[in-house]
Amino acid sequence: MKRTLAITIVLAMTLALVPFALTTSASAAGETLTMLQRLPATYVVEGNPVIKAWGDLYGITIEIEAPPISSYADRRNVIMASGDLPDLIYLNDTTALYTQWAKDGLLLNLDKYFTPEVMPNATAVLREDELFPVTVTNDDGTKSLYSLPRVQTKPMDVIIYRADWLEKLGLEVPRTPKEFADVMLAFTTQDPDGNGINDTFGWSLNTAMGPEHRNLVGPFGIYPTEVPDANGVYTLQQAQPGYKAYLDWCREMYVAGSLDPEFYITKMYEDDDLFFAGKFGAVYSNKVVEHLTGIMTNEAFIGANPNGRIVAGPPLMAEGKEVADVWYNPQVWGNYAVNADSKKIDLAIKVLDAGYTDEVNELLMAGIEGVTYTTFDKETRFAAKTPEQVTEATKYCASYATINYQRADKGLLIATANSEADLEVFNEAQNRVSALTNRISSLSGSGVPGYGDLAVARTESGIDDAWKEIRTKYITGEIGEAELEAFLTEKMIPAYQPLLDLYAAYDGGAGFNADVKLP
Amino acid sequence: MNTANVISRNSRRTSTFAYLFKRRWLYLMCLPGLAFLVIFKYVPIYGIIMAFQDFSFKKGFFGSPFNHFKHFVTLFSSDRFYRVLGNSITLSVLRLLFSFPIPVILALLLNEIRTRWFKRTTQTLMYMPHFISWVVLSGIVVNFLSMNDGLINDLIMFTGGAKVNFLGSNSWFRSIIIITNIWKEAGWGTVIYLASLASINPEYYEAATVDGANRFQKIRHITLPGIAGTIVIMLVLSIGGLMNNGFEQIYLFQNDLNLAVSDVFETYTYKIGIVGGQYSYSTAVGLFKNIVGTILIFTSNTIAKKLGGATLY
Repeated sequence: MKRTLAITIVLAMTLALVPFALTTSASAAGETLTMLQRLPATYVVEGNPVIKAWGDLYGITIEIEAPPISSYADRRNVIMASGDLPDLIYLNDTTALYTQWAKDGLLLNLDKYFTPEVMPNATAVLREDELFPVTVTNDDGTKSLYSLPRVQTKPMDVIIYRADWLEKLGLEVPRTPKEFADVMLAFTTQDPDGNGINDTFGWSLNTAMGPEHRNLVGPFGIYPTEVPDANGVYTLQQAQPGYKAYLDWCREMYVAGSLDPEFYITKMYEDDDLFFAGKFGAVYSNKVVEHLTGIMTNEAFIGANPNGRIVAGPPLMAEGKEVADVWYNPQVWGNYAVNADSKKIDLAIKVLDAGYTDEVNELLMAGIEGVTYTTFDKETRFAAKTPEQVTEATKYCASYATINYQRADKGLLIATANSEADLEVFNEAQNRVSALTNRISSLSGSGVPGYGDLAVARTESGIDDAWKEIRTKYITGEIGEAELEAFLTEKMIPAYQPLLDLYAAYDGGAGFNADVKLP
Repeated sequence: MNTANVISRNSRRTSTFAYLFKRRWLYLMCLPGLAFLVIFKYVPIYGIIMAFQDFSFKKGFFGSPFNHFKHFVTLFSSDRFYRVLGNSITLSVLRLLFSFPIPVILALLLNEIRTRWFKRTTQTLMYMPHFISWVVLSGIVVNFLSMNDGLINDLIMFTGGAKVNFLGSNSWFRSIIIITNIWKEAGWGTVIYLASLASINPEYYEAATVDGANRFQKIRHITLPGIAGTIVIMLVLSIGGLMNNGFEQIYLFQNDLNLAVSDVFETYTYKIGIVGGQYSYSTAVGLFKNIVGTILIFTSNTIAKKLGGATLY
């Protein structure tokens, strides 16, 4: 009896280790293309008919691994470090890590594939400025593509406000920093939710997602570090004349109580959560017009605010101006790479290229007729859905799932418009905000050769973390102007000087973004 | 060769085999655990070679070039490293001072409870926080301490005080870490001491009762000496882990305002290695930390041995 029990236990414990050993071999069988993708929590991978239909286009099975959005970068980095990569990888990185992975040989050099013969769809769609961020300068000075960008060109940046709160307090959608501060104060002190307690705040500065967001900094004359002034001089954004005024503006709202007193503990999208919960009257970080319809149908928002309504406002603009100056890189929403050691490189290239066609784009966005939509209007890019199809579409379709989000020459694909009314809301906001926005296009500095090495050195030095600490302490009033200035002058600017020099030396001394003019 | 020696050696070997054979099922049951330990804990140790290389995924461990201790030079010349080192040691020492005795005290108190149902209920309630993840627990703590409707700040306001910025303050960070750590782990930490207490011969207590000893005298002269060996071993292990503060708890409570005291080795290597992708450099940091930990464990064990107490080896 004792012997049988012992043998059984030993066998059970040994067998428990077997799945670890079999994980790799099991997935290697058959014509399966493996992918790593960043997908929302609502997206269902298992048994997804859209993914099946996508694979059926090529007679294959597409197997997707989807780590949670909030920890995607960490999980991706671990997978990259393991060396055991899927065939197709959504990198969502065009900076130092991407360059490192490319130079380490983890990613397939796409130069010989990115031709009209091999990748007719991608080459037809992608423009030079959109390819710039994913172009890597090799050690010998030549340039190569190691991934292709997912481009999104149309949606306008917006700040989203509680329309019902504005209406109740008799306020307009703010346009200038002063109007914004006034409205935020009213949201904080005038009980906009009518519960008899001043338990709401205007907004939160999301230091994780956008402490110097283009929705906020334009009116202060702040421009990207990688853009030179009229004299061709590059100035660190934090050292520009308007930057301190921007911090002071935040600090005044913090003192007034209209900026979330604990904004610094916000991680990732937690400001959205508090907006949905009816605690904040505005959200600004990474908000574009299409998020309007998403929030309107968000269960958390509807649950906490049954009568809540929202409205999109333009990025903030300077006093006396009619439009907001918004600095804008070609909108690359992440990038896809092929595993250099993949046994199915040709297949991965084929699937990647086809991702730039209307057919695949519409399949991944709108889904399957009769399952996730009733009719699809190719002109307006609107998919009409029954209530049941709305549920199915939420599970099986997502803008996150696309290879290319949209083409520059096409109308917008709306991820969350489930009705004609949604479409009208979207169009109204898009047109109104467009008329109030002056987009100034510049290229992101991450594509400049040598950028990655400098970024690594700065990471090791901890200067960026130190800056975050100083910035937050200045806004909360823990330190004064002298300490801020001392840090910028003695530590921050010297740490970034090599980067400024790099921009100035670009293109044989012509400078980076040399043709871009400040407004 | 001396015949007596050969016989003696053979006899020892025979008795060892006899011992192993007699307990063969127990040793067989150890095998999966040992295999796990070897595969997942010992085999990956070769990865520390990365600390001395400019590691390339393509070239691997054997192809990547060695860099003449470049990462260690960078490490020891970095101001941030010394801040991280200072924070790690300070927090660990405070943790050792305040957290280590609590399970011992709790175990002694539990041991004195005579009503069985009350003792079991108390034990269960004390164990429960151990099974709550740090993510959930930190959420609870944030809700308690927040300046936005946090219970503690509401109470302070109710009593006429001013709100305290518990979460965004250097001075409160270490207290929060130690108190929450005690809350979560102290109950679970009593298990080993309770097991040790159970091994004390009840006849000692009976004899002490006959001699007229009261409860405190029994604790002082029987219970504490009875578990002293366990306490010393746990202390030696704790000192060995002096450079470890755990990642999750610190990271969840870390923010821009408490970075000056909350940046410890675990969060540092996470930011450099996982987020920044500098695997070789973060391996160098980890290696340094583990070497110090190993030295500490050997030193504390040697001291314990010299003092004549129980030791690890």
